[in-house]
Order: sequence, then C-alpha cells, then structure tokens
Amino acid sequence: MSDLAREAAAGYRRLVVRRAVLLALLLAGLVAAFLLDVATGPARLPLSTVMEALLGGRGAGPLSVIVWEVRLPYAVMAVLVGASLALAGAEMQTVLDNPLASPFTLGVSSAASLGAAIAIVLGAGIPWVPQDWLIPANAFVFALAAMMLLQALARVRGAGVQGLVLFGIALVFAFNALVALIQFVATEQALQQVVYWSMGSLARANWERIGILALVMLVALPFSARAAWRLTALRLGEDRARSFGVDTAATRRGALLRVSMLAGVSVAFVGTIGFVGLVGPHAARLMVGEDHRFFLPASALCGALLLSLSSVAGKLAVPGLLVPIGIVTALVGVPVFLALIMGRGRMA
Amino acid sequence: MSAGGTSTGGMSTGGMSAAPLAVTGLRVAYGRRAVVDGLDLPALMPGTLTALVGPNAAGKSTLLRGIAGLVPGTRGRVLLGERDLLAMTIPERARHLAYMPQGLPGGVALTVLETLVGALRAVPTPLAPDGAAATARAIDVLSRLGIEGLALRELGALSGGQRQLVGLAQALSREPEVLLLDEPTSALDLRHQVSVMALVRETVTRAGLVGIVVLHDLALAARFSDRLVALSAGRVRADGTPERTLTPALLAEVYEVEARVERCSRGGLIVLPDAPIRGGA
Repeated sequence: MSDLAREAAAGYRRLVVRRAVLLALLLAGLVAAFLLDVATGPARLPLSTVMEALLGGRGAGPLSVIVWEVRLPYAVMAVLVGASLALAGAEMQTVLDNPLASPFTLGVSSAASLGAAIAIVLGAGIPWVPQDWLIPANAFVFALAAMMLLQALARVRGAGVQGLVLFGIALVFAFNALVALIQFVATEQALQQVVYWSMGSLARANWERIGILALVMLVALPFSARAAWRLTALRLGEDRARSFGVDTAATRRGALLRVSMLAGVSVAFVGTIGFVGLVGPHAARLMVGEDHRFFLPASALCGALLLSLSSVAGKLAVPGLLVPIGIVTALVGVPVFLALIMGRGRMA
Repeated sequence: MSAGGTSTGGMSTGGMSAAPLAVTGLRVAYGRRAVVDGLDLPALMPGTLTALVGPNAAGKSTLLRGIAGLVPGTRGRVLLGERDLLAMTIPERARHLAYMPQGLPGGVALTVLETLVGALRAVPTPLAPDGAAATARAIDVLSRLGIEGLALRELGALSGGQRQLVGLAQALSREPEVLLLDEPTSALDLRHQVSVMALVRETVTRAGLVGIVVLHDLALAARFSDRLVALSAGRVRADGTPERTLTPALLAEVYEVEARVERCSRGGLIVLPDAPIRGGA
C-alpha cells in the first residue's frame, strides 16, 4: 500500500468514527430536548419533581397524572412523529432524486387532511370504526391511497422519477381544492375543527396511538436499515445503481411503502406538520453526508429533535396557551435550517 | 498513472474463464419507438476494446443501455459465452457486466471512497464480504487508477476528468467481465481524454475484459480500439478494425460529410472532415 492509500484508509476510518460520534451527539441532544419537553408545561413543576414522578412509575396522584397522562405522551409523540416524518422524507428524497420531496410536498399530508375533513364535516368514514378513531382512520386511509396512486404511476412504463414528483405536486393541489370545497360547505363549528386539525397538534396524543406509531416504526426500521446500501447506490443515478446490481424499481417501491406507512400514521394522529419531513433530511445531510447508514438515522434524529424543541417552544411561546405544533415547527425550523445552510454551505 | 501490482493483486476476471460476448437480434425501444431493432454484433472477444461510433441519435447510447439490460422490454440475446445476460436478474447480471453512464451526478454529499464502498456493498458480492474488505478493495482500485489521493474528496468538488476516473473506478471495482462505457471522454480536455482512454485500453487488455466504449472522437476511437462499429439510425453500417472500417465512403454514408482519412507521421489514422454532403444520403 502506498502512503496515499494508507492515508485514505485512515481518513475513511476517521470519517466513519466522526459520523458515529455525530449520531451519538444528536441522540444526546434528543434526550435532553425530550426531558426539557416533559419538564415544561403550564403547571410549573421543577425538573427534579418531574424526574421523581417519571421514575416513580404511574400512580394515582395529580403529579403522576400530569406527567404520565399529559406530558409524557406529548413528548413521546413529538419524538416519534418527528423521527417518522424525517425518515420518510429522507427516503423519499433519495428514491425520487429530488431535494424537495417530502410527505408534505407530495400529497401525503394533503390527502390525510382531505380524509380528516371528510370525517369531520360529512361524518363519513370507514364502517365499524369507533367514533374517536374515525378521523385518524380516515386520514390514514387517504394518505395511504395517495401514496398507492403515486406507486401505481411509478409502475406505468415510461413515467420517470420526475413524472412521479410532478404527479405528487398535482395531487397536493387536487386534495387542497377538495378540502377547500368541503370547508366551503361545512358548518361553522365543523370548519373550525377542520382548520384546527390541519394545524397539527400533539394534544391528540395518547398511549394507544403512541403504541401504534411505535409499532409501525419498529416494523419499518429494519427494512430501512437493510436498504441503506442500495439507497446510497441510488444517489449515484438510476443506471449506475442498476449496474451495481440494485433492483432500483423494487428499492423504490419498498421505500415508498415505508414512507406511506410512517407518514400516513403520523399525519393521521397529529395532523399536518409539514416542515420536519423536508428539513430533517437536509440537516442530516449537512451533518453526516449521504452514506445512508448514517444519513437515515441522522434524519430521524434531526426530525425528532426538531419536533421536540418545537413542542417546548409551543408551550413557552404564549404563556397559558399551547400553540399548535405545526405552526411552531416551521417557525423554529426555518431559522435553524438557515443557520445550518449559512454555517456549512456545503450543499450550496 | 501508477501501475498495478498491489497486495490484493491485479485485475482479474474473478477466476471465470474469459468468454466472448455476442449480441443477437437485439431490439431496444423506448415506449413504442424502437431505436435499435434486430441488431447483431458477433463475437466481441475478451481483451479487446470495441468503439461504438456514429452521428448524434444513431442509437449508440441506447444500444449500450440495451446490452446492459437497463431498458425495460429489451428483446433479443446478449450472450456471454453460453449465458444470456438479459435473462439474468439484476444482481446476477451485475456480477458479469459493469456499465458506466455519461457523467456522475455532482450534487451528492458523498466522498469518492464512500461511492466506491457503496458500489461494492450495494448488493452482497463475494468480492467484498465485509466492510473492511470493501474499503481495501476500493482503495486498491483507486490506487491502480492513480487517484487514491482523491479518496476523501466530495464528489461535488471534483473536476470533470476526476469524476470520469471515479466513475471508471466504480465500474472496475466489481471486476466485471464486460465493461460498457458511455462517452468516458466527453467534457474532458486533451490530456485527460488520452489518459482515460489509455487506462481503459490497458485495463481491458490486462484483465481480459470485453470492452465496449461509445466515442464521439473518431481519432480516439481509431487509436485505442481494436474494433470499430459504426452505427446510424440504429443499424450497424460497418464493423471491423479501424483500418478497414474508417473510410471516406463510410463517413459519407454515416456522417454525411465529405472527409479524408489520412495517416499521421506515426501511422495513426486521422479524419479530416471537409464539407457536409447536401441533401443527405
């Protein structure tokens, strides 16, 4: 081995270590943000008291109820939804080869909104679904249907990746128009509910929903991890990846299926939270590059961190008022994102 | 360019007996429009480099993508020895054949070495059973091309010539038996054109690969290839050694130019186009 080759090998090892360290730092930041999120709220409890209630397990006292039934579900939901949406966004950006792809920009969120609006305004939904599950179930079914439509188009011969992206954008407009139409005919009360739903809120979190979303993640993650190398190869172009032996069509189908499950369930439970699916992956890319072994977990961690911090900000911004997380995420996320771009300027 | 002879050994065909490549009855179509139909290319021998030349829209790149099995609905056979590459699954085919498309995407946040390790680990291959083996092999290939100094550079920070070499390294790292290159010299200056082609030539000979390269530059094609296939409108118009095929008559027919083919002071072929032929052939 020449000196240069030895240097390259050592440099690569350092690069891998650095990326692993960055992942660990992100995780540590997420844990801190999560604890801060649990500790923040209208009832001003000191962190030590909150920790005691956490470690003491679920009890009957008022403190335990606040921590275990209100704060913890919100905080856990913020982490899970942030991670799901950002992971979905990362896989979408890779398989569609488009930095603007995200569950929000390609119709998943709009479809979920339409499903929710139909449930709220028309009271129509899937038969035999219990009343309090009507809205999320409808939202999920619509989100899934939107992704299936995209998938079906992907299978049509000759429709390239760009066609898929354009089709997704067309879906956004179509669904938004339908939501507007439903809002137009809705009663004032229903209209208010639809608007509030579409703002996105963690107030709909409960342990049952957390369990479902966690299960979806648990199922999706191993498949994402297994696809990591294939997704990295796909970044070098469709033809090249296939020449490396990657069945790109199958890889794309698998990724879009995971995206629809992750994004569909998330959006169904908390409503439209747009920004995180777009920006989580970009922040991750700036930090660890696009080796998907690091890029995918970093995206999930960035998304979870962003949503956790947004949840804290939403509680602190206006005292006594919980600002919907969908609003806060963009307001918190944009400056963070701009700072990242200005600071590193690597992708510019 | 540094020579080979590193610890993991030179380029080999992975122990497989070198077999010739033959294309028969190939039909490559985009949608309903057949770009190449009923095309035959007999006996492309291991260790030889074949240049595909022809005017714009002659179907050169399409033919190459068709041979690589990248166009859905391609019919016909691409036989490597007895085996039909088109009948194989994508991972199976990738063990025998490497294809390098024109250009490498620039806006990707990956270092050169990461792209090579990625190429090796995209699907499991006995060539790189684990991460350490993949890294060692990747660095070895970069060293053989003399670009190990670029290993930790980001793709976006490379010049056009460096990017071509990285693309070539990716293709070579998988030790293919068939190497397909689509315009490896496009957007390169003279020095890099010559050095890339010399490297391709050397690798094909040493490793006993079946090499097919799409080229625009007839002088480069004549200088570096053993066999020259001229295409126009999706059909083979000439097939043979550059000496035999590169004639004023062919240039008139295929390129619709009046041209002279002369010998330079060292005996190489040079093409001197004089005027377009009006009205076409």
